[in-house]
Amino acid sequence: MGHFLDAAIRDDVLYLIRLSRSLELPGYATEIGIDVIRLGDYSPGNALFCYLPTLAERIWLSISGVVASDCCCIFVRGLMPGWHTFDVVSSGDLTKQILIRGGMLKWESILPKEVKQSYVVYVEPGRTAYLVDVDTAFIYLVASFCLFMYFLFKLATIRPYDD
Amino acid sequence: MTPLYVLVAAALLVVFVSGVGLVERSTYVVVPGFYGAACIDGDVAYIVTKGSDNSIVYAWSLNGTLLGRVWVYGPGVECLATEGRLYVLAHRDIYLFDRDLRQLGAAELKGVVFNRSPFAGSPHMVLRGDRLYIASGGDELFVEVRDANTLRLLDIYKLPKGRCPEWRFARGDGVVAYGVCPDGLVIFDVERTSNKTLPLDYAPTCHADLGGVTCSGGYPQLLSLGGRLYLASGSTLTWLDKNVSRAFPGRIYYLDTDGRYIYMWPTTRWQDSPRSSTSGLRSPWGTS
Repeated sequence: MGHFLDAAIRDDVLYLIRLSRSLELPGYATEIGIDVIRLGDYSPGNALFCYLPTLAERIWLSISGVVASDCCCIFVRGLMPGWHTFDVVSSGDLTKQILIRGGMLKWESILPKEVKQSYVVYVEPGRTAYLVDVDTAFIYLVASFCLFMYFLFKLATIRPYDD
Repeated sequence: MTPLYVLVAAALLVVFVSGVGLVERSTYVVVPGFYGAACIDGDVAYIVTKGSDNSIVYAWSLNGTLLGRVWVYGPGVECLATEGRLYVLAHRDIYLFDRDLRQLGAAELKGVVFNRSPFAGSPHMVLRGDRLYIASGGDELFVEVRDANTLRLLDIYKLPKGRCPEWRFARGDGVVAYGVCPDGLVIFDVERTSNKTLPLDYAPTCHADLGGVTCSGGYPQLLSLGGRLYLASGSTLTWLDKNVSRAFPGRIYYLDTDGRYIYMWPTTRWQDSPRSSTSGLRSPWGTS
């Protein structure tokens, strides 16, 4: 990257001048790096981030590692346009913790243990980015329930042979 | 939208990984000697190398071709390039060149200009229309107003000296000179010929020597935008008129604007390579 030396903004372009390296030639020389950066529209955007967990855990949501919220939706205003990381932080499987402890846990004492899911989301200038997801286990549970109900329905509608 | 919200709503803009503010291209040029100053006009970059007696100005195209070079007398301190004209500020002189480095004029300053810090800092000269403003120091401190085409001296303002080592100009659209003095920040609005002193949260000790003016904690950066003043001091950006401020991680190296946003360049430690990001703050009065 090199040391920052100077910068200049002309119209929509930022010129960044940096000291790339010093060269020990016969004599002394300096390599200067000049970056041409097209400036964009930095109108802040918003983000709505929802995550539906399974029942056996407590989750927190964070955007770019700075904003945290308890389950299950978070709406953040004034995000800089660009890529942001949305994280789902989990307490881990509470069933195991209950079994290990041998009793119920206090809700307040359950702490974040692991990043369960990470998403990289692009926030457009002045617009709202939406991200909604559910735990895979939750999908399996719903699918199992639907399948069970389907078989139950089929069972109820099967007619025996009329011999 | 309240100004406080505007400041608080700003977040770090990661230029190099975000979809906006991508580096379009990078050019590397090698110049003999030590870096003194650089300025860019369109697709030409001018690099001033610093010598003790003389300095050389190199013109490079942004695709890396050397277009020419020229000598100036004295250590080159600063340059300013716009619309095919190049101004080079040396220790005691100001030079005017055209795009092809043909000298169009030169003049001796009333005072002297100290070397700039190797890491940017606010400029000693600004161009507004056909007037070139130069803040010079020495035994007495002046703002010189010169004709931008001929370098003829049009006006001169004597600045309150106190124990301010030097004066510089705020970036942005006004003509505001400022100096860091023991009793605070002294701001001189050249267009309104008014000055005021603001206490700084910290008292930087600045001293001048041949290597330029250095201040503990870095030289504060001032920005003038639409008649409003913003001060970046240490890691805090303050809208002076409203006393609204926001702290950022690291010291602010650079403060500038394109009329819509305020851009700043933070770093985590003095002389660290700044993070590959600039921060954008939305201008409180919207687009210009």
